[in-house]
Amino acid sequence: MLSARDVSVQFGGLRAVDKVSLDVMRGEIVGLIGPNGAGKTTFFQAVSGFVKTTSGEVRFCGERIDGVAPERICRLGLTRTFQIVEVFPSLTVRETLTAAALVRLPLAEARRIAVSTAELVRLGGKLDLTCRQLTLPDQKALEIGKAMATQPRMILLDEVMAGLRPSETDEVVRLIRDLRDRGITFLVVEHNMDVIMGLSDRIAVMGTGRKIVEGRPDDVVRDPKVIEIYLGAEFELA
Amino acid sequence: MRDTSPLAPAVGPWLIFLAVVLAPLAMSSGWINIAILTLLFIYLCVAWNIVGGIAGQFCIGHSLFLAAGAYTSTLLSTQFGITPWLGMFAGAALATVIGIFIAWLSFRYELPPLSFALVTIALAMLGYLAISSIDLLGASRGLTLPVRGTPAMYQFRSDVTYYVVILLHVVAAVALSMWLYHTKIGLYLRAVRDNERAAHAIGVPVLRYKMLAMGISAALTALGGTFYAQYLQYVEPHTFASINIVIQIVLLTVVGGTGTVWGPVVGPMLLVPAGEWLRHSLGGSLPGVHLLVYGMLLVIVIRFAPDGLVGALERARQAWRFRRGVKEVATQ
Repeated sequence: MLSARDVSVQFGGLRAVDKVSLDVMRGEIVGLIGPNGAGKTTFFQAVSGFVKTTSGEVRFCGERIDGVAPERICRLGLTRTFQIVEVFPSLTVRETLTAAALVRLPLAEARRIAVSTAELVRLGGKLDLTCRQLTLPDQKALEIGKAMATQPRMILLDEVMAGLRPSETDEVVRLIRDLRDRGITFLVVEHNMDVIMGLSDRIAVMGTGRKIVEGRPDDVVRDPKVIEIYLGAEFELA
Repeated sequence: MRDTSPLAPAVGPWLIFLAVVLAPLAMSSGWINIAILTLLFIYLCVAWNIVGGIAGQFCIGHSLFLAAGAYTSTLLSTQFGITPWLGMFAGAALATVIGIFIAWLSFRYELPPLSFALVTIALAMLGYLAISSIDLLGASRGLTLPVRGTPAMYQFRSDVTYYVVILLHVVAAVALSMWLYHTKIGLYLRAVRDNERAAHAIGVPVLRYKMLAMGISAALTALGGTFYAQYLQYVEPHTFASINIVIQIVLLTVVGGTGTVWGPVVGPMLLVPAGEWLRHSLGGSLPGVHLLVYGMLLVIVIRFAPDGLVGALERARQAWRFRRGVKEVATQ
């Protein structure tokens, strides 16, 4: 479904992403992990059109999407959430979800989708609150709801668990599984190892801009290269 | 969709609005001129609010659109005898082209809001200088419309007719902005205003919608320019093309409540008559005092109600509702 080939992103002298290739199949949940500064988020931005790739190509359902504007990518059925929630402060939950659904639907239908999406992400009782009135977990839920309402084939999740308590994290994990069962594909960047191990079908590990390992969660955690980049010197000290 | 945004429910304000605007029909001629001026500013504020408020793009270049409307219809009328009833649409078309071009030029480079405001000020100044020095446009003397006094040429003997014409403009503009607010265009524009990155991510073609907002706002403003020219029977750069009028439009809208449907109605409705009254009663002894009062009001509003009078009212209403809700829960 999503296929990145030798994607590089250069910021001045810094090569933030260096020839990363990654494939995500239909209906999969793929995790992307790595220490801070490994280039996960930049890779993400490149795939979703928010940052220009320096070289390489990205295809979504066969179509080239590198260098394509994010709103066009969204129209193709690939959308993203943001690490730091990006809500519309003065819009209500209903208006936010309606606006998101409008990408594919006329207004009347978009309004219906807004209501059903709100139910899905457990914001059904908060339809008429403005986004700035929501708590952080609710804003995170809305972040996913916004992505859902555009009726995507695939969602890129950027650290949706950050800042959530364990009980709230469980909720979000359940939600993602639900959505996968409805046929949506996920690429998930996450810091929380417990969550990503339980959630992903496959995991890719990035370190200093490169993809280091890719495989099943059980194999990845045992891989010496992964242990090294995560624990490095501390591991040797121990 | 249930109405919870910073808009009051639709019926009440419409009734108040109609009562207030119909009252001057029973008044003396001095008052009707003030009423016409008030309605003109309401109309211009509603037009500006589409791009400056709903879409959140602080454009200070609206004098260009006002002048485009006024000069186009006036020139077509004086040079070719074309009625301003048609000329106004030519002016609107010209203003739309200028507006869309300015938006495209500024936003494709993703100018931050302050730079956009400065760019539009610069363009407005250029427009003013250009108009003041082109002989065909009457340079700084301006152009006077020949008196024909026939409705077919958009000229009326009675001020009441001008009053009705601008009232229709206002009703149409408010209806348009109400309709915009809750449909796709309005939702997209408000999304762009609130958070451009997030708007991109949900598939909003941000640049195209900013251009659209400028186009609509520019066209409406130009129609107001034609009206103003027909009402004054002349056009000249200081009234139609200097940024003074834009600053007044922005100020009145901010006091009323930027980005709301009723803010640009409430602001001018209160302040234009108050300003005229101040100027008449104190203008002799203290010239310019109404500007001083405007300035102070602006400071007070920005300090205590950054979302304007309409925003403050809406918050008060919500707080009252919330308290009533708490009381109900407590008594249950």
